[in-house]
Amino acid sequence: MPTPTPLTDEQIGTLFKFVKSKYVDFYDVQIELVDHLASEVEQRMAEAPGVTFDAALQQVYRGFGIFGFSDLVEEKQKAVNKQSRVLWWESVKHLFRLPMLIGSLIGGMIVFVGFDSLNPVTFVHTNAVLSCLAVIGIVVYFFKTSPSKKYKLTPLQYSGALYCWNLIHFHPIYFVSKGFIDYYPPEVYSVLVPLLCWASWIGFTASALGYKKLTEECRKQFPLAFA
Amino acid sequence: MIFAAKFDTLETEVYIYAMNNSQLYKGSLTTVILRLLEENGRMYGYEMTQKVKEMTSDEVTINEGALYPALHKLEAEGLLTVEVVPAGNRLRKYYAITPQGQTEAVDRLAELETFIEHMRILLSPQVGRTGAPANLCVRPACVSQWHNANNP
Repeated sequence: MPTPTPLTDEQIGTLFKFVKSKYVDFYDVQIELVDHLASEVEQRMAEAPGVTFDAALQQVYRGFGIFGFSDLVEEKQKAVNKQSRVLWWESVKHLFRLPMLIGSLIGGMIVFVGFDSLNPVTFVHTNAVLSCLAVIGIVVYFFKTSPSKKYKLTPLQYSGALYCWNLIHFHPIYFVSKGFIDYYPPEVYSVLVPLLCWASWIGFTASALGYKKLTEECRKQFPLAFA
Repeated sequence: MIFAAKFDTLETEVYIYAMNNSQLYKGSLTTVILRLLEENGRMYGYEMTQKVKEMTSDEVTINEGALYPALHKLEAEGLLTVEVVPAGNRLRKYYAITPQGQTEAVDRLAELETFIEHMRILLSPQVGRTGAPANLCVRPACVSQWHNANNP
């Protein structure tokens, strides 16, 4: 088998333009596709020296089937979404394993003691303010750690499970808790409200930890995107 | 189309996109990937396609449009890890199997072997009863040849 001649920087640039023109907007997918196209184009050009770069590229692209890269991009988004759910659940389990378990239990104790010491409505309002501040904090963290606009990354764009909790965190903390206080007797809501608040904080913390892990992994894999 | 069986006919490469063929291979792609990574350590997508072609003497070609979604799915399930390293003037994404992936590979391979064994018995009932060689090829032509040779 003839040894392939590596493509030039200009040809690699053309491949990036090519995949972008086929609606592959995400940098992580682009680099994988460019490497694949480049490897195969190099091989084809080595096997048949008469074949031009453009002709070889078209031949290779045909190998992706009639839908081109669209199926691949769609499946990648689904996979990333699934991965984010796995990551969130792993983070929840992590919070219930030592040494994080100690922090989770202390957090739970603070919530229950806070509920006992404060008036139920004051407790709900205080918790709501804290949850708003936490959501603002996570949004600031999100903008500070997100990659540059030129390099969109699928894992950070489609991790719905990790963003979802941040959005709904306020809901159980405020509206559902208030509903419990309004409609249930004190002996029921005195258990339900702090328990719900604690569970919501656990979910929120798991989202934040999962997002942090995901960002670190992306930063390690694609340093250029964060430069 | 997951795999395309490739034949050289009058110097023209003809890819057989038969639905039945694709269905046969469809469920095995992730097992093939896990097995490849288990045997060869870290690999990148194109390398896997070449390895499969080489191992099957160009008879089986992994379609790129199916390979990458399968790799991404396995990565999402935590069965593979990813490392991006520079390769000349571009970046290359290498996949490696995780310990969880190794366990999964053993299970899926055992499942696939059982399936092949059952198919062999079903395709040629004599195989199961008359102690045909375990390495008997399961292609209809081979089974038929073996059947004719053993049942004159």
